[in-house]
Amino acid sequence: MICTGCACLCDDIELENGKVHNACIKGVALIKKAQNTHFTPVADGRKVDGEKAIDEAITKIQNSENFAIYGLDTVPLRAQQIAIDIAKKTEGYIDDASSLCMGVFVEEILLERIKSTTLEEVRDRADFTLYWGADPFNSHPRHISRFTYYPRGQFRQKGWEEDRYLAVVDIRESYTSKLAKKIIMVENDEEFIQSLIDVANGNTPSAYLRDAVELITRIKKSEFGVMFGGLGLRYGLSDIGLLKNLLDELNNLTEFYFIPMGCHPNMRGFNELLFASVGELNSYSFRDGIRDSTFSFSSLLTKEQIDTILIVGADPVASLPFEIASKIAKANVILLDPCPSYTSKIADVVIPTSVSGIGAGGEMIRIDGKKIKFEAHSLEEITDEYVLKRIEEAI
Amino acid sequence: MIVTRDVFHSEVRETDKESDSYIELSATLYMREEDMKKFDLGDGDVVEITSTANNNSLRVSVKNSNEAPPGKAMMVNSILVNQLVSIENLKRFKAKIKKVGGNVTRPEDIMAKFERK
Ligand code: SF4
Repeated sequence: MICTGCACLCDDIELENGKVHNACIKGVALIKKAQNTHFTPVADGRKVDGEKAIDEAITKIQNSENFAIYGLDTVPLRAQQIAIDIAKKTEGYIDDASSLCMGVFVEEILLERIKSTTLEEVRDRADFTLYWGADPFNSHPRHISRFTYYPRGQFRQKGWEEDRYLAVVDIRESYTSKLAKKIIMVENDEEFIQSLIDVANGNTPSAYLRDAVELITRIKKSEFGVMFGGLGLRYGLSDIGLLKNLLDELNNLTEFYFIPMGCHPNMRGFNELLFASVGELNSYSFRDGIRDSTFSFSSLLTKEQIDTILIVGADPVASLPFEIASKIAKANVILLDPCPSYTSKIADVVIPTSVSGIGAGGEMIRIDGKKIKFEAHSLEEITDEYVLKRIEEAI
Repeated sequence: MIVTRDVFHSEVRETDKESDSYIELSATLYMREEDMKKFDLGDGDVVEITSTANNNSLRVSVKNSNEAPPGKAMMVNSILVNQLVSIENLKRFKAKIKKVGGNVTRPEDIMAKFERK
């Protein structure tokens, strides 16, 4: 079976007599939680059955004048597509976490302005791997062992000992950096990007001279390089064009790719579906027919512009800055989620749904763009797809 | 200050968000030893952090860690640290710290501030 604990979407997980094999501790915790959680549907403070909770959600959506859908990054593609259809039918807003994290990178990839590759290609061919502002040891625990540094790949049979070079650029010594052959601690990501561009062009940079020369020398020696950009890079960049310039320069030196380090298992799936539907990745208003940062979920909350929110598989009460999260409680909140969360504490309607990969089968698009299919392991709970379909048919 | 992820925190977040270990990992401020000395802090001291981004405060327990960036402090991403960040920069912000003693802030203290419609 598959683990949907992070964007690695590990497909070698085995469940045997309640024991989880091969997953990391984060994956084990998710799979065990899926088996043991008893979460009750709620409508306006009363415990109800699932169908009644769905009816209540439908009524709230039908009565809404300014409706938004948020989350969706942990549910399969079919559920995401139905949510997009609901947003369209209601002329509502739709957004996911990518507007605050990896969307800016995914957009460059979908528009083919940045060259990307698959994790299997990295496993088989990469001899230079750079994590920039990412700590997979903690965020994607099996990324390093399954895809980048430790595996024996088709053309990298000598693995990390001889065939692979791992470098980390970060503001600190992370756990991942302790595994690397080179760590470069930077205060200012853009300054270091500029230094690398300068060295790649044969110029002397104004900062980070030794580190930039060492890294560029390594990249020149490599046959297949890849940079994994995490949230540290995302928030260290005010201009995506600078990263694009660097990647262009590195491609003049060797074959070089970029993969975002998104955490959510199907964030890219949502981005690709919305892109196929309206040509935009996130923060979309079906009423206005455009994407704009003012239609991001956080902006809509800030301006108190929505009266009803359908949240699917996300916990924005915990994950957004307090000033914004605190506004969620001012709207009607309908939550679809497998487990209790901080958002479920303030939601008007709570509909427990199955964990993707355990109670729900389907497809997801991994952060590198590869489509991953998976079967449901057990079929006892209602799925996000079922609930969303019921809503979509009723409105 | 910077905001990071921690796999053990992710594990307990999946298991039990009300558990003591979740609260302990969420309400910890990691600093390097040399930086703790500058503020006359020891392991387990409770400090009040006030964000210059929004003036919100939290009480957290200090812990020595070499994974913290030099001259800075670090917290794991959770409902607690999200009291202090702004939407413009979810991962780095400036804050003041002051040794106060007492108990750390708990998620329920934050939930109590949510005003219902
Ligand atoms: S690395 Fe991610 S997908 Fe793989 S087992 Fe761990 S949490 Fe699950």
